[in-house]
Amino acid sequence: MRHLCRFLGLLVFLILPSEGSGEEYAFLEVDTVQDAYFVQEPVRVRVRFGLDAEFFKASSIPLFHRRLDLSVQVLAPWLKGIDGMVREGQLESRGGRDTRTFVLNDGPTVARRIDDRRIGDRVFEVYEISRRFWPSEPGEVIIPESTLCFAFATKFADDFLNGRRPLDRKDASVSDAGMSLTIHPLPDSGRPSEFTGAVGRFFVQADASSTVLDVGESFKLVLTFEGEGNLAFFETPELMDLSGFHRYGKIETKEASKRTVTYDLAPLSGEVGEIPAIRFGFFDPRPPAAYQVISTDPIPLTVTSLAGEFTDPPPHGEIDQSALESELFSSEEDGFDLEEDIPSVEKEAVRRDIYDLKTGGEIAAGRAERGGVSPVAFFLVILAPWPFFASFLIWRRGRSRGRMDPRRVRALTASSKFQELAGGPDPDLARAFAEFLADRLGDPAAAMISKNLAAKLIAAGVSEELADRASEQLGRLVDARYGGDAPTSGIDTIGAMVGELDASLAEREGEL
Amino acid sequence: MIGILLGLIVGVTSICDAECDYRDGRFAESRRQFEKVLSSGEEASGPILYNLGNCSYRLGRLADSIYYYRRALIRLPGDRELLFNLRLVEKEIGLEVASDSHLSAIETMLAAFPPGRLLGLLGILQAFGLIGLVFFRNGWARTGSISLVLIALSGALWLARTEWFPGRIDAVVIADSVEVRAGPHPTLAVTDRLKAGRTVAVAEMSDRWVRIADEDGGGWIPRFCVGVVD
Repeated sequence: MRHLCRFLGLLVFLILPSEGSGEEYAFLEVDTVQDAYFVQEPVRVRVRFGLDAEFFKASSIPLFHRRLDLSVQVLAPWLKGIDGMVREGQLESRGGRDTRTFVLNDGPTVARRIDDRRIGDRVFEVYEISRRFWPSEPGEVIIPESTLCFAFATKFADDFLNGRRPLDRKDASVSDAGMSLTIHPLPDSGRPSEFTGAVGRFFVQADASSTVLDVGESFKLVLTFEGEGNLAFFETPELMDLSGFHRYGKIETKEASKRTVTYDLAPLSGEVGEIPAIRFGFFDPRPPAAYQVISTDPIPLTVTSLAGEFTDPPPHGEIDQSALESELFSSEEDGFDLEEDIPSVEKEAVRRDIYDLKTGGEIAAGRAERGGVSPVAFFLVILAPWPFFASFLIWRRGRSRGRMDPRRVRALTASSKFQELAGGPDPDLARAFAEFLADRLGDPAAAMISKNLAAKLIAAGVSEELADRASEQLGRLVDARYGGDAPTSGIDTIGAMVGELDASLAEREGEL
Repeated sequence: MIGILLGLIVGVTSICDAECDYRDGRFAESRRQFEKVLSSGEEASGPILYNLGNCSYRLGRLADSIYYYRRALIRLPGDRELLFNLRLVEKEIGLEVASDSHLSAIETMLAAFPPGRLLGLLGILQAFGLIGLVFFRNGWARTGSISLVLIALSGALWLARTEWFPGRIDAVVIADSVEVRAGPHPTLAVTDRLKAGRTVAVAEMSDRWVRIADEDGGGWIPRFCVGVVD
């Protein structure tokens, strides 16, 4: 259908040329080899444009100041990227022998000249550029419209200073409508386990840097992948499970036509006799499209190891069952009593095999397996209570000590004792006051009646004025008592003085 | 969020595939699937490592199974099935299994608790002990309170050590046999030989060599011959 449209377009071009449309003097084509591809199968998109040689020689006008072989501009922004496809780095027109410069999109590039095309009585010089893409997903891929632009004139004037000047410049263009491609997914059926995304047709070769080795000695195994396809995109074998070998690492290098993977390996024992064949799977899209698996040739190795001076462990399966049982299930010698520790196991049916896998539920439970403990939580739970505990103990000890001190007990009860003695029906205020002072100062009551009372009170921390008043008051009370007269001060006055003395002495004790 | 969900779905699908492969006897493929799940980091690694140990055992790679079981033991301490499998494989491979001391039995019991829960339990014990010390002046009650406090503090010390000062790093010999050398070079004198599956203490590590320490003094072995238990 596409070719029919193109034929009709050419027919129109020949029969009905339109001034300024450019179709008379040039054409533009965009095509691919086929309309349908597989995912990751390389798609080469070709852009061809043809120019009427004689016309362009006589009538074309440069589009840009820069000197170019072809005074045309091709607008094909999709060459920078198409949705659903990954583009290759460079245009494939580079490197050809017969190339011409022109403008592609917004910059100069080169196109390769291919065979001329004769249309009617005109010869068109045909140029081609192409780019490879790799479809990344199945579906439909649209290649949008492309346009070829040029300018020409039919009348020119020769100017001594400016050279040939066009007098009737006309800008023209021709377009290609674009196309759509169908991208098929790779089939699931028949996909080998060795398939790692390679699409195309490939060959692989293995080479070893050394074939005579000691156990543990490292050497290089080089796999070289060549062929046509998505060489740069598939995953190369990891060789992590290569039997008898340890893999240190791998390095890859990519070139246009081959991909090289170098593995750093080491044999693990002297029993290793060869590097086994390495299998590689790919999908060949050529009919009949199918998966294929190729393999490298085994590489014989000579691996030297020291003679074994100890017994190797028995290979799996050749176990002395009775010895194993007696060792495993002895409850006297081993600390690990399997019979008791195995849940729901009959005494007669002793376990001789490992337990089964942990399944989804246990894995889900294991998501919250350990977690951690933050230092803050540890501090708050374990360490923080200790200062409070210690403070409480110190406080309680201090209180107990205070309670056990007789002087302290006397001092604490002095005021209440005065109230008791002074509150009776016939109070002996002299005695009550003297008892109070004695309790507070820690001396006998008789010692209070002395000229040194004021000094003692001052020494205990009472102010001089209060001490003098207290001493005078006691003197008056004692004189009144022994003189038979009534006390000159009432109980309230004495009580107030007791309060003052109590507060003053307590304040002093608090400071101490 | 969608990415996490998709990752979980993919992880679950891979686990199901791995389990199906295991049941069907495709142990190598099952192991590959479990390794993929482990490297994705989406699932709890303890049960996955346990399953990798099972796959390795079925494939006859006993040293590898010991290596995976020991790594799983860090994450699932006190798991009975795991301990049984590990002991069974060590017996099969010919290793002497040291009987559990009372101390290690207590450690195993403590390790079975999630750390947060254990911390809470210790806090409660300590609180009861301290309250008892406040109210009881003498007699069995005071002795009991002191005991509670000491037990709580011992547990807290153990917890702090395991959480923040994990101590030695172990490695399992995964090669069939390995020579222990006096220094990190293949030409130096051989001082000992280790069998597959043996667990050694790692004193030092470089890209290609590991220095081990044991009762015989230790030495250096190639890094690729051991799997570091982490």
